Amino acid sequence: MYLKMLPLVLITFITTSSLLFANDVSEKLETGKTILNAIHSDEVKKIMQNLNNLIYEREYTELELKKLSHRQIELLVEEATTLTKTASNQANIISLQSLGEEEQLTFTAMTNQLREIAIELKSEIGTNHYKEIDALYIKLQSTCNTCHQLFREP
Amino acid sequence: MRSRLVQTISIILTLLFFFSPPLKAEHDARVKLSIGGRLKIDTIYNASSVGGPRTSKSDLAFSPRSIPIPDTGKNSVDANLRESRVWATLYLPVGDNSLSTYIEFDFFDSKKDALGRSHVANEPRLRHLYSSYRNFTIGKTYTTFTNLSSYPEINDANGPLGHFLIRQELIRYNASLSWGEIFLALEKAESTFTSTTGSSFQVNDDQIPDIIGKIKFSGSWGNMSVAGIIREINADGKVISEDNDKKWGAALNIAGRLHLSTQDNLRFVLSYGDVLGRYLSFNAFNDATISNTGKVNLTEILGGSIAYQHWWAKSLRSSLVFGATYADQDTSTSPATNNKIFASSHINLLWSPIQKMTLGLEWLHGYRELNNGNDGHLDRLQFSAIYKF
Repeated sequence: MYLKMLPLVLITFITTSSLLFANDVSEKLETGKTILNAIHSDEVKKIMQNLNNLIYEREYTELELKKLSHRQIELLVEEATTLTKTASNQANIISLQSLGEEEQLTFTAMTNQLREIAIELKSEIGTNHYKEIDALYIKLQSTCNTCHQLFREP
Repeated sequence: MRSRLVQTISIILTLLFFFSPPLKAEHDARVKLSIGGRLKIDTIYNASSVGGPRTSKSDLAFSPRSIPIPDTGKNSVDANLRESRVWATLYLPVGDNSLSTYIEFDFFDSKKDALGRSHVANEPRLRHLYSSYRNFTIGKTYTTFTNLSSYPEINDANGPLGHFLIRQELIRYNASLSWGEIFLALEKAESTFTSTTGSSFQVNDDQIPDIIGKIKFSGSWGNMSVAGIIREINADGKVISEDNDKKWGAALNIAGRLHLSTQDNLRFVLSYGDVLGRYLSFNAFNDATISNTGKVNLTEILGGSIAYQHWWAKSLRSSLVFGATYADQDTSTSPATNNKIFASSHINLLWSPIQKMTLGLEWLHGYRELNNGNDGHLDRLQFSAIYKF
Protein backbone atom coordinates (compact mmCIF):
# COMPACT_ATOMS: atom_id res chain seq x y z
CA MET A 1 0.00 0.00 0.00
CA TYR A 2 2.76 2.38 0.96
CA LEU A 3 4.30 1.79 -2.48
CA LYS A 4 1.51 3.93 -3.89
CA MET A 5 3.21 6.91 -2.36
CA LEU A 6 6.58 6.18 -3.94
CA PRO A 7 6.09 8.01 -7.28
CA LEU A 8 4.96 11.17 -5.50
CA VAL A 9 7.87 10.99 -3.05
CA LEU A 10 10.28 10.55 -5.95
CA ILE A 11 8.80 13.48 -7.89
CA THR A 12 9.00 15.70 -4.83
CA PHE A 13 12.55 14.58 -4.09
CA ILE A 14 13.75 15.12 -7.66
CA THR A 15 12.09 18.56 -7.82
CA THR A 16 13.58 19.75 -4.57
CA SER A 17 17.00 18.27 -5.34
CA SER A 18 17.14 20.03 -8.68
CA LEU A 19 16.14 23.28 -6.99
CA LEU A 20 18.86 22.72 -4.44
CA PHE A 21 21.54 22.47 -7.09
CA ALA A 22 20.06 25.24 -9.22
CA ASN A 23 20.43 27.74 -6.38
CA ASP A 24 23.45 29.18 -4.72
CA VAL A 25 24.25 26.74 -1.97
CA SER A 26 26.82 28.91 -0.26
CA GLU A 27 25.93 29.43 3.36
CA LYS A 28 27.14 31.66 6.10
CA LEU A 29 29.64 29.98 8.33
CA GLU A 30 27.84 28.77 11.44
CA THR A 31 29.46 30.61 14.30
CA GLY A 32 31.11 28.95 17.18
CA LYS A 33 31.59 25.49 15.84
CA THR A 34 34.62 25.34 13.64
CA ILE A 35 37.01 27.44 15.61
CA LEU A 36 38.48 26.59 18.97
CA ASN A 37 37.69 29.19 21.60
CA ALA A 38 40.50 31.27 22.97
CA ILE A 39 38.28 32.12 25.92
CA HIS A 40 36.70 28.96 27.18
CA SER A 41 33.06 29.13 28.21
CA ASP A 42 30.48 26.37 27.98
CA GLU A 43 27.81 29.02 28.45
CA VAL A 44 28.93 30.89 25.31
CA LYS A 45 28.92 27.64 23.35
CA LYS A 46 25.38 26.90 24.53
CA ILE A 47 24.17 30.37 23.55
CA MET A 48 25.81 30.12 20.12
CA GLN A 49 24.16 26.75 19.62
CA ASN A 50 20.77 28.25 20.51
CA LEU A 51 21.37 31.02 17.98
CA ASN A 52 22.27 28.51 15.26
CA ASN A 53 19.22 26.39 15.99
CA LEU A 54 16.88 29.31 15.27
CA ILE A 55 17.53 28.61 11.58
CA TYR A 56 15.51 25.41 11.84
CA GLU A 57 12.44 26.95 13.53
CA ARG A 58 9.30 26.57 11.43
CA GLU A 59 6.44 28.31 13.20
CA TYR A 60 7.90 31.55 14.50
CA THR A 61 7.25 34.68 12.48
CA GLU A 62 10.28 36.61 11.26
CA LEU A 63 9.67 39.30 13.86
CA GLU A 64 9.60 36.74 16.63
CA LEU A 65 12.77 35.10 15.34
CA LYS A 66 14.45 38.50 15.39
CA LYS A 67 13.32 38.99 18.97
CA LEU A 68 14.54 35.55 20.00
CA SER A 69 17.92 36.06 18.38
CA HIS A 70 18.24 39.40 20.18
CA ARG A 71 17.47 37.68 23.48
CA GLN A 72 20.28 35.20 22.83
CA ILE A 73 22.59 38.04 21.77
CA GLU A 74 21.72 39.79 25.02
CA LEU A 75 22.73 36.67 26.96
CA LEU A 76 25.89 36.44 24.88
CA VAL A 77 26.75 40.05 25.60
CA GLU A 78 26.26 39.52 29.33
CA GLU A 79 28.48 36.44 29.24
CA ALA A 80 31.12 38.18 27.13
CA THR A 81 31.14 41.18 29.45
CA THR A 82 31.59 38.95 32.47
CA LEU A 83 34.30 36.90 30.82
CA THR A 84 36.34 39.88 29.79
CA LYS A 85 35.84 41.87 32.97
CA THR A 86 35.96 39.59 35.96
CA ALA A 87 39.39 38.85 37.31
CA SER A 88 38.34 35.42 38.51
CA ASN A 89 37.59 34.45 34.94
CA GLN A 90 41.15 35.07 33.89
CA ALA A 91 41.66 31.43 34.78
CA ASN A 92 39.48 30.62 31.80
CA ILE A 93 41.80 32.34 29.41
CA ILE A 94 43.78 29.57 27.86
CA SER A 95 47.53 29.96 27.60
CA LEU A 96 47.51 33.72 28.21
CA GLN A 97 50.61 33.48 30.38
CA SER A 98 52.46 31.60 27.70
CA LEU A 99 52.00 34.38 25.12
CA GLY A 100 54.72 36.86 24.28
CA GLU A 101 54.46 40.49 25.42
CA GLU A 102 53.21 41.74 22.05
CA GLU A 103 50.68 38.96 21.77
CA GLN A 104 49.46 39.69 25.28
CA LEU A 105 48.96 43.35 24.33
CA THR A 106 47.04 42.33 21.19
CA PHE A 107 44.91 39.93 23.20
CA THR A 108 44.11 42.58 25.82
CA ALA A 109 43.27 45.12 23.09
CA MET A 110 40.90 42.68 21.43
CA THR A 111 39.30 41.82 24.77
CA ASN A 112 38.71 45.53 25.37
CA GLN A 113 37.26 45.92 21.88
CA LEU A 114 34.92 43.00 22.51
CA ARG A 115 33.77 44.56 25.78
CA GLU A 116 33.13 47.93 24.10
CA ILE A 117 31.05 46.37 21.32
CA ALA A 118 29.17 44.32 23.90
CA ILE A 119 28.28 47.42 25.90
CA GLU A 120 27.13 49.25 22.75
CA LEU A 121 25.09 46.23 21.65
CA LYS A 122 23.45 45.94 25.04
CA SER A 123 22.23 49.55 24.95
CA GLU A 124 20.99 49.15 21.35
CA ILE A 125 18.95 45.99 21.98
CA GLY A 126 16.40 47.92 24.02
CA THR A 127 15.61 50.24 21.10
CA ASN A 128 14.57 47.60 18.53
CA HIS A 129 16.73 49.30 15.89
CA TYR A 130 17.25 46.07 13.99
CA LYS A 131 19.72 47.34 11.44
CA GLU A 132 22.04 48.76 14.08
CA ILE A 133 21.75 45.63 16.21
CA ASP A 134 22.51 43.36 13.26
CA ALA A 135 25.53 45.48 12.29
CA LEU A 136 26.90 45.44 15.84
CA TYR A 137 26.35 41.71 16.13
CA ILE A 138 28.33 41.13 12.93
CA LYS A 139 31.08 43.32 14.43
CA LEU A 140 30.99 41.26 17.62
CA GLN A 141 31.19 38.00 15.65
CA SER A 142 34.06 39.34 13.61
CA THR A 143 36.00 40.33 16.75
CA CYS A 144 35.40 36.90 18.26
CA ASN A 145 36.46 35.09 15.10
CA THR A 146 39.60 37.20 14.59
CA CYS A 147 40.64 36.54 18.17
CA HIS A 148 39.89 32.84 17.83
CA GLN A 149 41.98 32.61 14.68
CA LEU A 150 44.90 34.37 16.34
CA PHE A 151 44.82 32.67 19.69
CA ARG A 152 43.19 29.33 19.26
CA GLU A 153 44.95 26.32 20.61
CA PRO A 154 47.06 24.45 18.10
CA MET B 1 -10.45 39.04 -9.65
CA ARG B 2 -9.36 36.20 -7.42
CA SER B 3 -7.57 34.40 -10.21
CA ARG B 4 -5.70 37.61 -11.01
CA LEU B 5 -4.62 37.86 -7.38
CA VAL B 6 -3.49 34.25 -7.40
CA GLN B 7 -1.58 34.80 -10.65
CA THR B 8 0.14 37.87 -9.22
CA ILE B 9 1.15 36.06 -6.06
CA SER B 10 2.35 33.06 -8.08
CA ILE B 11 4.58 35.33 -10.16
CA ILE B 12 5.94 37.04 -7.04
CA LEU B 13 6.62 33.66 -5.44
CA THR B 14 8.38 32.37 -8.54
CA LEU B 15 10.55 35.48 -8.73
CA LEU B 16 11.36 35.31 -5.04
CA PHE B 17 12.22 31.67 -5.29
CA PHE B 18 14.68 32.05 -8.15
CA PHE B 19 16.19 35.33 -6.98
CA SER B 20 16.96 34.60 -3.35
CA PRO B 21 18.30 35.99 -0.99
CA PRO B 22 15.24 37.99 0.16
CA LEU B 23 14.41 41.14 -1.72
CA LYS B 24 15.04 44.22 0.34
CA ALA B 25 14.03 47.81 -0.30
CA GLU B 26 15.70 50.48 1.74
CA HIS B 27 14.13 53.89 1.45
CA ASP B 28 16.25 55.50 4.07
CA ALA B 29 18.93 54.37 6.41
CA ARG B 30 16.56 53.17 9.13
CA VAL B 31 13.58 51.86 7.13
CA LYS B 32 13.80 48.22 6.23
CA LEU B 33 11.40 46.17 4.09
CA SER B 34 12.04 42.46 3.72
CA ILE B 35 10.08 39.87 1.75
CA GLY B 36 10.55 36.15 2.12
CA GLY B 37 8.78 32.89 2.62
CA ARG B 38 8.99 29.19 2.14
CA LEU B 39 7.96 26.59 -0.39
CA LYS B 40 6.60 23.42 1.23
CA ILE B 41 5.66 20.40 -0.80
CA ASP B 42 3.78 17.67 1.04
CA THR B 43 3.07 14.15 -0.11
CA ILE B 44 0.65 12.34 2.19
CA TYR B 45 -0.54 8.77 2.41
CA ASN B 46 -3.59 8.14 4.63
CA ALA B 47 -4.10 4.50 5.60
CA SER B 48 -7.79 5.26 6.25
CA SER B 49 -9.88 7.74 4.36
CA VAL B 50 -10.75 10.70 6.58
CA GLY B 51 -13.80 11.52 4.50
CA GLY B 52 -14.71 14.82 2.92
CA PRO B 53 -13.94 15.88 -0.64
CA ARG B 54 -10.58 15.25 -2.20
CA THR B 55 -7.84 17.46 -0.70
CA SER B 56 -10.12 18.63 2.10
CA LYS B 57 -8.24 20.13 5.04
CA SER B 58 -8.56 16.85 6.94
CA ASP B 59 -6.70 15.10 4.12
CA LEU B 60 -3.83 17.57 4.29
CA ALA B 61 -3.51 18.41 7.98
CA PHE B 62 -4.22 16.04 10.87
CA SER B 63 -7.70 16.77 12.12
CA PRO B 64 -8.59 14.71 15.23
CA ARG B 65 -12.34 14.78 14.60
CA SER B 66 -11.84 13.21 11.18
CA ILE B 67 -10.31 9.96 12.48
CA PRO B 68 -12.81 7.46 11.05
CA ILE B 69 -15.01 5.36 13.35
CA PRO B 70 -15.30 2.66 12.16
CA ASP B 71 -12.33 2.30 9.82
CA THR B 72 -13.40 3.05 6.26
CA GLY B 73 -11.04 0.44 4.85
CA LYS B 74 -10.04 2.88 2.11
CA ASN B 75 -6.77 4.74 1.77
CA SER B 76 -5.70 7.86 -0.05
CA VAL B 77 -2.62 9.53 -1.49
CA ASP B 78 -2.37 13.27 -1.89
CA ALA B 79 0.10 16.01 -2.70
CA ASN B 80 -0.10 19.73 -2.11
CA LEU B 81 1.91 22.87 -1.47
CA ARG B 82 -0.70 24.76 0.51
CA GLU B 83 1.52 25.12 3.56
CA SER B 84 3.88 27.27 1.52
CA ARG B 85 4.10 30.76 2.94
CA VAL B 86 5.03 34.25 1.85
CA TRP B 87 5.74 37.04 4.30
CA ALA B 88 6.85 40.66 4.51
CA THR B 89 8.26 42.72 7.36
CA LEU B 90 8.55 46.47 7.60
CA TYR B 91 10.66 48.28 10.19
CA LEU B 92 9.78 51.93 10.45
CA PRO B 93 11.57 54.30 12.83
CA VAL B 94 9.15 56.08 15.15
CA GLY B 95 10.72 58.30 17.78
CA ASP B 96 13.64 56.56 19.41
CA ASN B 97 12.24 53.10 18.64
CA SER B 98 10.99 51.06 15.67
CA LEU B 99 7.47 50.16 14.58
CA SER B 100 7.59 46.62 13.24
CA THR B 101 4.83 45.30 10.99
CA TYR B 102 4.48 41.74 9.78
CA ILE B 103 2.16 40.08 7.26
CA GLU B 104 2.11 36.42 6.26
CA PHE B 105 -0.02 34.26 3.96
CA ASP B 106 -0.29 30.58 3.24
CA PHE B 107 -2.53 28.81 0.70
CA PHE B 108 -4.68 26.70 2.94
CA ASP B 109 -7.91 28.33 1.87
CA SER B 110 -7.78 26.47 -1.41
CA LYS B 111 -11.12 25.31 -2.71
CA LYS B 112 -12.24 23.21 -5.61
CA ASP B 113 -13.22 24.91 -8.84
CA ALA B 114 -16.67 24.57 -10.41
CA LEU B 115 -15.70 21.25 -11.97
CA GLY B 116 -14.50 19.84 -8.68
CA ARG B 117 -10.81 19.99 -9.55
CA SER B 118 -8.87 20.88 -6.46
CA HIS B 119 -5.55 21.51 -8.20
CA VAL B 120 -6.84 24.56 -10.08
CA ALA B 121 -7.56 26.99 -7.24
CA ASN B 122 -4.94 27.90 -4.65
CA GLU B 123 -6.22 30.85 -2.70
CA PRO B 124 -4.10 32.73 -0.18
CA ARG B 125 -5.10 32.77 3.48
CA LEU B 126 -4.00 35.44 5.94
CA ARG B 127 -2.01 33.88 8.78
CA HIS B 128 -0.55 36.92 10.51
CA LEU B 129 -0.97 40.66 10.28
CA TYR B 130 0.27 42.67 13.23
CA SER B 131 2.33 45.62 14.34
CA SER B 132 4.58 45.93 17.37
CA TYR B 133 5.81 49.10 18.97
CA ARG B 134 7.81 49.10 22.20
CA ASN B 135 5.87 46.77 24.51
CA PHE B 136 2.64 46.60 22.55
CA THR B 137 1.43 44.30 19.80
CA ILE B 138 -1.85 44.68 17.96
CA GLY B 139 -3.27 42.57 15.14
CA LYS B 140 -3.72 38.91 14.28
CA THR B 141 -1.09 36.41 15.37
CA TYR B 142 -0.53 33.43 17.68
CA THR B 143 -2.49 33.55 20.91
CA THR B 144 -0.55 34.69 23.98
CA PHE B 145 -1.75 31.54 25.75
CA THR B 146 0.58 29.33 23.71
CA ASN B 147 4.32 28.83 24.07
CA LEU B 148 5.54 28.50 20.52
CA SER B 149 8.94 27.07 21.44
CA SER B 150 7.23 24.01 22.96
CA TYR B 151 5.84 23.11 19.53
CA PRO B 152 7.77 20.20 18.02
CA GLU B 153 9.45 20.18 14.61
CA ILE B 154 7.06 18.04 12.58
CA ASN B 155 5.86 17.81 8.98
CA ASP B 156 2.16 17.73 9.79
CA ALA B 157 0.45 21.10 9.45
CA ASN B 158 -1.62 20.77 12.63
CA GLY B 159 0.56 19.02 15.12
CA PRO B 160 0.30 16.85 18.19
CA LEU B 161 -2.90 16.61 20.18
CA GLY B 162 -2.77 18.40 23.51
CA HIS B 163 -1.02 21.32 21.83
CA PHE B 164 -2.47 24.45 20.26
CA LEU B 165 -1.36 27.06 17.74
CA ILE B 166 -4.41 29.20 17.11
CA ARG B 167 -4.02 32.64 15.61
CA GLN B 168 -6.48 35.40 16.41
CA GLU B 169 -6.94 39.13 16.81
CA LEU B 170 -5.38 40.53 19.97
CA ILE B 171 -3.94 43.47 21.87
CA ARG B 172 -0.90 42.46 23.89
CA TYR B 173 1.46 44.09 26.34
CA ASN B 174 4.75 42.42 27.12
CA ALA B 175 7.74 43.46 29.18
CA SER B 176 11.21 41.93 28.97
CA LEU B 177 13.00 41.41 32.26
CA SER B 178 16.41 39.99 33.09
CA TRP B 179 14.93 36.53 33.79
CA GLY B 180 12.36 36.42 31.00
CA GLU B 181 9.13 38.12 30.00
CA ILE B 182 5.63 38.88 31.21
CA PHE B 183 2.58 39.15 28.93
CA LEU B 184 -0.94 40.50 29.31
CA ALA B 185 -3.45 40.30 26.47
CA LEU B 186 -7.03 40.78 25.43
CA GLU B 187 -7.93 38.44 22.59
CA LYS B 188 -10.86 37.76 20.33
CA ALA B 189 -13.73 35.95 22.02
CA GLU B 190 -15.62 33.14 20.34
CA SER B 191 -17.80 30.66 22.25
CA THR B 192 -18.19 27.21 20.70
CA PHE B 193 -20.85 24.69 21.74
CA THR B 194 -21.88 21.07 21.33
CA SER B 195 -25.67 20.72 21.05
CA THR B 196 -27.76 17.87 22.45
CA THR B 197 -27.61 16.25 19.01
CA GLY B 198 -23.81 16.40 18.99
CA SER B 199 -23.52 19.09 16.33
CA SER B 200 -21.19 22.06 16.80
CA PHE B 201 -22.13 25.72 16.59
CA GLN B 202 -20.82 29.20 17.40
CA VAL B 203 -22.81 32.13 18.68
CA ASN B 204 -23.24 35.43 16.86
CA ASP B 205 -22.29 37.87 19.59
CA ASP B 206 -19.66 37.43 22.28
CA GLN B 207 -19.37 40.31 24.69
CA ILE B 208 -16.12 40.09 26.62
CA PRO B 209 -12.67 39.39 25.16
CA ASP B 210 -10.59 36.46 26.37
CA ILE B 211 -8.18 37.66 29.08
CA ILE B 212 -4.73 36.08 29.11
CA GLY B 213 -1.64 36.47 31.27
CA LYS B 214 1.70 34.69 30.93
CA ILE B 215 5.07 34.58 32.66
CA LYS B 216 7.99 33.16 30.72
CA PHE B 217 11.36 32.29 32.22
CA SER B 218 14.21 31.93 29.77
CA GLY B 219 17.94 31.48 29.62
CA SER B 220 20.57 29.51 27.79
CA TRP B 221 19.01 26.39 29.42
CA GLY B 222 15.80 26.91 27.46
CA ASN B 223 12.52 28.37 28.59
CA MET B 224 9.40 27.63 30.58
CA SER B 225 6.12 29.50 30.75
CA VAL B 226 3.03 29.52 32.93
CA ALA B 227 -0.08 31.02 31.36
CA GLY B 228 -3.62 31.59 32.55
CA ILE B 229 -6.78 32.41 30.65
CA ILE B 230 -10.20 33.66 31.73
CA ARG B 231 -13.13 33.48 29.32
CA GLU B 232 -16.83 34.13 29.32
CA ILE B 233 -18.74 31.44 27.43
CA ASN B 234 -21.92 33.03 26.21
CA ALA B 235 -24.93 31.16 24.75
CA ASP B 236 -26.22 34.40 23.24
CA GLY B 237 -29.76 33.07 23.14
CA LYS B 238 -28.84 30.64 20.39
CA VAL B 239 -31.00 27.76 21.70
CA ILE B 240 -33.74 29.70 23.49
CA SER B 241 -33.82 33.23 22.21
CA GLU B 242 -34.79 34.75 25.58
CA ASP B 243 -32.25 32.71 27.53
CA ASN B 244 -28.84 34.31 27.42
CA ASP B 245 -27.05 31.93 29.77
CA LYS B 246 -23.33 32.58 30.22
CA LYS B 247 -20.59 31.16 32.41
CA TRP B 248 -17.11 32.26 33.36
CA GLY B 249 -14.29 29.74 33.29
CA ALA B 250 -10.51 29.55 33.48
CA ALA B 251 -7.59 27.41 32.40
CA LEU B 252 -3.88 27.04 33.08
CA ASN B 253 -1.04 26.08 30.78
CA ILE B 254 2.55 25.11 31.55
CA ALA B 255 4.91 24.74 28.61
CA GLY B 256 8.52 24.99 27.65
CA ARG B 257 11.62 23.75 25.92
CA LEU B 258 14.64 22.41 27.77
CA HIS B 259 18.01 22.14 26.07
CA LEU B 260 19.59 18.78 26.88
CA SER B 261 22.89 17.76 25.36
CA THR B 262 24.46 19.79 22.55
CA GLN B 263 21.40 20.12 20.32
CA ASP B 264 18.89 17.65 21.78
CA ASN B 265 15.87 19.16 23.44
CA LEU B 266 12.68 18.30 25.26
CA ARG B 267 9.50 20.21 24.49
CA PHE B 268 6.40 19.91 26.64
CA VAL B 269 3.00 21.40 27.25
CA LEU B 270 0.27 20.64 29.78
CA SER B 271 -3.09 22.40 29.98
CA TYR B 272 -6.11 22.03 32.22
CA GLY B 273 -9.30 24.02 32.59
CA ASP B 274 -12.94 24.40 31.62
CA VAL B 275 -12.54 26.91 28.77
CA LEU B 276 -9.92 25.16 26.64
CA GLY B 277 -12.26 23.81 23.96
CA ARG B 278 -11.65 26.27 21.14
CA TYR B 279 -7.96 26.59 21.95
CA LEU B 280 -6.71 23.05 22.50
CA SER B 281 -5.98 20.20 20.10
CA PHE B 282 -7.07 21.88 16.89
CA ASN B 283 -10.74 22.16 17.74
CA ALA B 284 -11.07 18.60 19.03
CA PHE B 285 -13.69 19.71 21.55
CA ASN B 286 -16.02 22.65 21.97
CA ASP B 287 -16.01 25.04 24.94
CA ALA B 288 -19.28 23.77 26.40
CA THR B 289 -22.33 21.60 25.94
CA ILE B 290 -25.73 23.23 25.98
CA SER B 291 -29.06 21.79 27.08
CA ASN B 292 -32.37 22.05 25.23
CA THR B 293 -33.32 24.79 27.68
CA GLY B 294 -30.22 26.79 26.74
CA LYS B 295 -28.20 26.10 29.90
CA VAL B 296 -24.42 26.20 29.44
CA ASN B 297 -22.23 23.42 30.89
CA LEU B 298 -18.53 24.13 30.55
CA THR B 299 -16.38 21.22 29.42
CA GLU B 300 -13.37 20.36 31.57
CA ILE B 301 -10.43 19.43 29.39
CA LEU B 302 -6.98 18.06 30.15
CA GLY B 303 -4.38 17.92 27.42
CA GLY B 304 -0.67 17.79 26.90
CA SER B 305 2.16 16.73 24.68
CA ILE B 306 5.81 15.86 25.05
CA ALA B 307 8.43 15.80 22.31
CA TYR B 308 12.02 14.68 22.36
CA GLN B 309 14.25 15.87 19.53
CA HIS B 310 17.49 14.04 18.92
CA TRP B 311 20.19 15.23 16.53
CA TRP B 312 21.89 12.31 14.83
CA ALA B 313 24.36 14.56 13.03
CA LYS B 314 24.87 18.25 12.24
CA SER B 315 21.82 18.48 10.00
CA LEU B 316 20.01 15.19 10.62
CA ARG B 317 17.49 14.93 13.43
CA SER B 318 14.40 13.11 14.63
CA SER B 319 11.47 14.03 16.84
CA LEU B 320 9.41 11.59 18.83
CA VAL B 321 6.15 13.19 19.92
CA PHE B 322 3.22 12.02 22.06
CA GLY B 323 0.10 14.03 22.70
CA ALA B 324 -3.31 13.40 24.20
CA THR B 325 -6.40 15.27 25.27
CA TYR B 326 -9.41 14.25 27.34
CA ALA B 327 -12.76 15.99 27.82
CA ASP B 328 -15.17 15.43 30.68
CA GLN B 329 -18.35 16.38 28.84
CA ASP B 330 -21.80 16.54 30.39
CA THR B 331 -23.27 13.29 29.02
CA SER B 332 -26.78 14.23 30.19
CA THR B 333 -26.90 17.00 27.57
CA SER B 334 -24.78 15.48 24.82
CA PRO B 335 -24.99 12.19 22.94
CA ALA B 336 -22.82 9.16 23.69
CA THR B 337 -21.28 9.51 20.25
CA ASN B 338 -19.45 12.65 21.36
CA ASN B 339 -15.66 12.51 21.45
CA LYS B 340 -13.99 11.71 24.76
CA ILE B 341 -10.27 11.06 24.18
CA PHE B 342 -7.86 11.88 21.38
CA ALA B 343 -4.22 10.85 21.18
CA SER B 344 -1.47 11.12 18.62
CA SER B 345 2.13 10.14 18.09
CA HIS B 346 4.60 11.39 15.51
CA ILE B 347 8.04 10.16 14.62
CA ASN B 348 10.16 11.65 11.88
CA LEU B 349 13.57 11.87 10.29
CA LEU B 350 14.48 15.31 8.95
CA TRP B 351 17.54 16.33 7.00
CA SER B 352 18.72 19.80 6.05
CA PRO B 353 21.36 19.48 3.31
CA ILE B 354 21.59 23.26 3.42
CA GLN B 355 20.20 25.56 6.06
CA LYS B 356 17.43 26.81 3.81
CA MET B 357 16.13 23.36 2.97
CA THR B 358 14.65 20.49 4.96
CA LEU B 359 13.57 17.11 3.61
CA GLY B 360 11.79 14.70 5.90
CA LEU B 361 9.63 11.65 6.30
CA GLU B 362 7.13 11.37 9.14
CA TRP B 363 4.78 8.74 10.47
CA LEU B 364 1.71 9.78 12.42
CA HIS B 365 -0.70 7.65 14.40
CA GLY B 366 -3.97 9.14 15.64
CA TYR B 367 -6.48 7.68 18.09
CA ARG B 368 -10.03 8.76 18.83
CA GLU B 369 -12.46 7.39 21.42
CA LEU B 370 -16.11 8.27 21.91
CA ASN B 371 -18.10 8.48 25.14
CA ASN B 372 -19.80 5.17 24.23
CA GLY B 373 -16.41 3.41 24.08
CA ASN B 374 -16.16 3.07 20.28
CA ASP B 375 -12.78 4.02 18.90
CA GLY B 376 -10.87 4.60 15.67
CA HIS B 377 -7.29 4.84 14.43
CA LEU B 378 -5.52 6.67 11.65
CA ASP B 379 -2.04 6.07 10.25
CA ARG B 380 -0.44 8.64 8.02
CA LEU B 381 2.87 8.83 6.22
CA GLN B 382 4.02 12.25 5.10
CA PHE B 383 7.02 13.31 3.07
CA SER B 384 7.76 17.04 3.10
CA ALA B 385 10.28 19.27 1.39
CA ILE B 386 10.77 22.84 2.57
CA TYR B 387 12.83 25.54 0.93
CA LYS B 388 13.10 28.94 2.62
CA PHE B 389 13.71 32.02 0.54
